[in-house]
Amino acid sequence: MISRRTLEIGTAVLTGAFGTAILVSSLQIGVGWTSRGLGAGIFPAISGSLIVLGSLYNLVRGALHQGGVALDWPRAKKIGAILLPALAFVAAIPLLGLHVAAGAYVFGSLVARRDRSIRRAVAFGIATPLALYGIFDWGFQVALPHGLLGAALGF
Amino acid sequence: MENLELLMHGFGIALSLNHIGLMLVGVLLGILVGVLPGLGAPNGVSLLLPLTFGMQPVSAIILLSSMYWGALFGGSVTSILFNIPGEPSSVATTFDGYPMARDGRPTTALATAFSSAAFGALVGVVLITLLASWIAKLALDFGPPEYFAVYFLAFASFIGVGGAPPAKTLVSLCIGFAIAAMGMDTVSGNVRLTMGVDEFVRGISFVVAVMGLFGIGELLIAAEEEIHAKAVSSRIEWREVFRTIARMPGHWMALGRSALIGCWMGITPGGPTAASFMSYGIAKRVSRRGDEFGSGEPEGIIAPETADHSAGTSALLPMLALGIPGSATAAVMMGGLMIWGLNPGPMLFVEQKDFVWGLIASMYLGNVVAVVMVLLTVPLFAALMRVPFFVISPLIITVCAVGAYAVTNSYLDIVLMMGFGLLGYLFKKLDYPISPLVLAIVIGDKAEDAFRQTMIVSKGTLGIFFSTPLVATITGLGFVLLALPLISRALRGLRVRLQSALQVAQNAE
Repeated sequence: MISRRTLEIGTAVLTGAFGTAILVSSLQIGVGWTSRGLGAGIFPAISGSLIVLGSLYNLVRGALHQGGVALDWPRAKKIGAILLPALAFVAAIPLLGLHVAAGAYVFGSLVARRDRSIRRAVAFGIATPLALYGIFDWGFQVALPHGLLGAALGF
Repeated sequence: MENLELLMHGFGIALSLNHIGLMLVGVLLGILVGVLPGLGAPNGVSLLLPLTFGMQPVSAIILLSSMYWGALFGGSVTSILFNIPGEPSSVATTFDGYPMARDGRPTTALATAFSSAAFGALVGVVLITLLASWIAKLALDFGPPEYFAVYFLAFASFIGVGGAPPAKTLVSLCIGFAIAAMGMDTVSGNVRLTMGVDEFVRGISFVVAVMGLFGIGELLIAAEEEIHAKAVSSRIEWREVFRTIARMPGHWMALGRSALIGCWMGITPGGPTAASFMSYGIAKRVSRRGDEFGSGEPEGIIAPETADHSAGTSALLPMLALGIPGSATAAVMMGGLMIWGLNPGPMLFVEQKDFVWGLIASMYLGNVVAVVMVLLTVPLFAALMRVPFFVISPLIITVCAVGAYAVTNSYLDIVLMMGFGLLGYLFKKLDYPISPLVLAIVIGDKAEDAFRQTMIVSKGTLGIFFSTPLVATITGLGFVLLALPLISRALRGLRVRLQSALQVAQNAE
């Protein structure tokens, strides 16, 4: 169970860390005056410091927040049911290629719900890579990645 | 008069068979992304972007802008029939649209929404027709200081009138700037902020950010809310459609007021979402039937819909005339313009007359096409909403992954997109606005260039932003907008104190 307060603090820390990284990195590039005008670091340095300042403010506001629950277990489970397969799909792309990974992903998502017929899941699983190939590789000449599997099969 | 001639010329371009076909395709795809949860106008337009690289710019922009109109209409369909806003900008339409549809008047609700939307869009396009070339002519004399001042004004209005907590808007905006700065620095040629990742040298594309923030982020929110598509009947009774349209002039006050609010919010980049909420809020306050709002009041549909569409349309005005997009979708389109090799801004009106006036003419036609198409396809898209979420969501994630990949053919972009998706979820959940982030990624470089050029001119003094009446006015207006949240809070505090003082005085009597 995650409270709104925890989530606010966590996000503020996250944005603050990003801002700090930008700030440090742009200070290294140089924020002084060069022969070509302002240094390349100054604009990102301003952005970085504003992110840090804003995050600090949000952190304090978040810490004072009296809100209730932001994410309880049932809701987290629902998000996980979407997010985890999606992450697995993205992780599988270098290996299987986008077409096959997408087909497996759609097939898996349908099979995971038992109230669906397996035949329909198979049909969707086969139709997805074919549709992707037809629309993007063939129709619009955007070559989607074939992955290690594609390379092994000689695509 | 000259504008009228140019507009007629534009109609000549837009009225070709090819372009009408593109409008139909664009509007249909737009309604589709507008109806589907997770996909919206910014995603849809980004998805189509790589597919337009081989097209004529004017055909490409007609396709993309028609998609935008379609998405704006599609969002209202789900709001009214399912109580599920397909687009963030149609949230306010659910307040009265759904109750009216539930009470057995779905056709009335839809027709009210569409005709007020069309009216709002029309006002927006007329405004563009009348003002765009004039503003562009004015802007031709702009130097770097004026440009930076206008950028500043745009960013300040996000913080001041965007509606989200100002500090959160600031963080979102500046993250966008930081991302825009990543990679090659256009002035010095230095590589910067790559954090050691070689692929960041060419920067992070706004398309990747849009796919993640809007697509994946919204999908996760939708998954959490677990939308149940319990639709009211989606059959369209045509006689009722015409009866509703005939009743519309009676609401001229609400229509006019909402269109004005929408245009204002579209030109200053408050965006359609803020416009529709603001318009609803004001209508509820000033309407004689304000207490009835929320139970299916026509003006409760007219106010947000008119403002939504007039803001969405007029958001293209600053994009065309100044190179500053007024909404996230306009920002994506502007990114497209730059990819096609056009330079958004006043020079467009001089060098690309066909493009500009073809687009403006297509807005008139595109909105007519959109109204007709959306009325015809309501039952079809309503049926689509009944497809279970677990079937739709992997398809949408796949489409987003393809969209992110197609920009530069890089796997890293898909991974980044998922990262942006998680960020988008957090941001949505905690009321951080997302549009400023996307806007800043698209125009961050231009704003930075303007700033650095100004500094070269002024030898490093900031006083240049107050050196002429024009630039001082723009900069000053920016500061006023920035201070607006503080001012309104102070006023509210004052009023509360006055009221309690009055109370005390009355009690003493």
